[in-house]
Amino acid sequence: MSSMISADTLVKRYHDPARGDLLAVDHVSFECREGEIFGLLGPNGAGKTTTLRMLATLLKPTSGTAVLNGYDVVRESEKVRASIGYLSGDTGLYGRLTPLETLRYFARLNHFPEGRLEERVMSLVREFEIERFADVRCEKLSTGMKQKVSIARAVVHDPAILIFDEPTSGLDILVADTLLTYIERCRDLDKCVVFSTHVMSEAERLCDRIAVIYEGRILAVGSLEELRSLTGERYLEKIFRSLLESGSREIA
Amino acid sequence: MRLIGTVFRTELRAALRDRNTVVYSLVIPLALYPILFWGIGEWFSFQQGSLEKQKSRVVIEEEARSPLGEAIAADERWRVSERETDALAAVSAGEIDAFVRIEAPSSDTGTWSLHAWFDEARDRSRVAKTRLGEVIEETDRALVEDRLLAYGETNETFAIINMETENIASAKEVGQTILARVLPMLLVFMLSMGAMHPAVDVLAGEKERKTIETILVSGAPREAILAGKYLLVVTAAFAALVLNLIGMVLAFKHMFSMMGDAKIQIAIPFTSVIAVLFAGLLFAAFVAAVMVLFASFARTFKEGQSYVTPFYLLMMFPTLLAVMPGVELDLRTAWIPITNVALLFREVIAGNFPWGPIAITLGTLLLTTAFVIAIARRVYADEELRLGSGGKTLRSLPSIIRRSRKRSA
Repeated sequence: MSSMISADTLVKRYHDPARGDLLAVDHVSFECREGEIFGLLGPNGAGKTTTLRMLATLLKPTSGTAVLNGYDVVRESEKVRASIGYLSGDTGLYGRLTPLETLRYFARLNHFPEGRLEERVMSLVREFEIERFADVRCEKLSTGMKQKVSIARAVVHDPAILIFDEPTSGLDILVADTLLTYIERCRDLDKCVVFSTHVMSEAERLCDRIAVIYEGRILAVGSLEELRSLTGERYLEKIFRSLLESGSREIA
Repeated sequence: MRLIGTVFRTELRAALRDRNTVVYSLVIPLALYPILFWGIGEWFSFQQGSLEKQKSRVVIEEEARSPLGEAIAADERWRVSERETDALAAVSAGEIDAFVRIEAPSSDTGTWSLHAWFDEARDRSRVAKTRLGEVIEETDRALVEDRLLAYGETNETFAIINMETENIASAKEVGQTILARVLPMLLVFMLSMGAMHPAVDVLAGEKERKTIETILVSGAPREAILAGKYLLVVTAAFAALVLNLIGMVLAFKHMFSMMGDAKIQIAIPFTSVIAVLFAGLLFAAFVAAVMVLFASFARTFKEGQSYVTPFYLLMMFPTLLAVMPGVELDLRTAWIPITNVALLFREVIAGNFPWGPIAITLGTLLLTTAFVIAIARRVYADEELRLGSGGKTLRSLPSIIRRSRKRSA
């Protein structure tokens, strides 16, 4: 399996007028391969979202770099974006467009071939059971319906890499399960998936490898088994707590 | 280019589904103003008609029976009331419209002296004053004629200057002059109003609705996204101009036709329309660039409105300068932004084409638009401002311009 994402000592520093300089991401490095689901696990404010935003080219790294699908996030940001599907709590839908219009719009923005566009859109409409509300404006849809459209929007151009930033937050169990099932299917389709969460059960269910991130640093990376042997703990909650405690001691 | 078109078409579709955009950019110019003008015209003529139909109530106090008193009594437009105990109070209370006191004629000259009281705060009393003037003029002429006839003379004997005036301007030209006075200011304001809502909506509104990240993570270049949004604002501003132009001309046409003035014909020549549209398109590009620039700093719709509204209000000063008497489009005023555009509109609507100042106006418009677009691009390139994160506000604009200057240097 070839490496699809290679993050190399990514650093993101902010200047906040009230708090001064803030180090949101501190020399983060990891790799993610095709057909792999890679989890970023950390508490709120650990730097997960900032890391994923740098990979999605929404933010420019202060230093370090990342290569996605062979493209550099700074120098070839457009090619990077065309290679990824990104979904987060902040990727809303255009309320005045219908799901069908949304999918067609984002397929075109992502350079999806016009000849195959309609076929692709309709297959996603069927796959995510959007038919019933495909012509209803997004502003009138329920949260669950919107999330289905959002996932379809993120994958409409059939990207090789999928980046999900806490995608199940605020969703009911059934919709969350639909999404998690879809992410599992992405692995079978040889997609490279980076998935951030602070829900242990999701990480345990989905991730082939997990990176525990805290205060902008990656404390450990490995499969669940590898993390178990590293910490001597069985359950992911315990593993997580153990890594955080040792991480806090290191930072102090 | 294809992606700019994709963004533009989608933004346009979304904008046309937004009630506020439709109201501000389409309904108000196309319907509200014509209806307003039509309503005012109807009300004006209705009021005028009712006043004309009403008889003027007058109390006449005469020392001796006078020809003027007889003329008023014979005129159907008057109703002579009985002597009031306090006629002045009756005028003031609106019970009568005029009080006229006529003294006996002087024994040596035979001249009648008259004193009249009106309450000009009331419409009916003002009408009475006009009517009294007409009656006096008519009576005076008849009396002079009688006296001259008694001496075997006529009016012509004593006429030293016989003046006849003629308006050489055609009804069309008079109409153009009227439009040239009124339309430029309205067009500048309405075009800006047409740009305001879409600019705030596609930039600040996008951050508020959390769709900014959705589009920024797409494979479209950021400049294409900005260009698509900018084109939408230009289109909205230009549409507001065109619709206002149509709406206002139709409204004025209707208003003047109701007033029944055949000496005024409301119409703009085809060449003037083309010139207004061409300059209007460039002006729409300028206003849209400024609105997009300011709205880029806002994180919410409300914040966006508070950023672009001062610009809209500031535009009033240079626009008002253009409607001041004596100010014309010349080689000096052509350099004043916004004033020059309003003056250009005025000149071309009036049918004048001073090509030098017009060229300077269009040139400055192009240069300032290019400058503002360049800054807007810098602002959109700023990560924090693009996403609406961080603490940057409109006050950061000078530092962004300084940084971009350094970079280009």
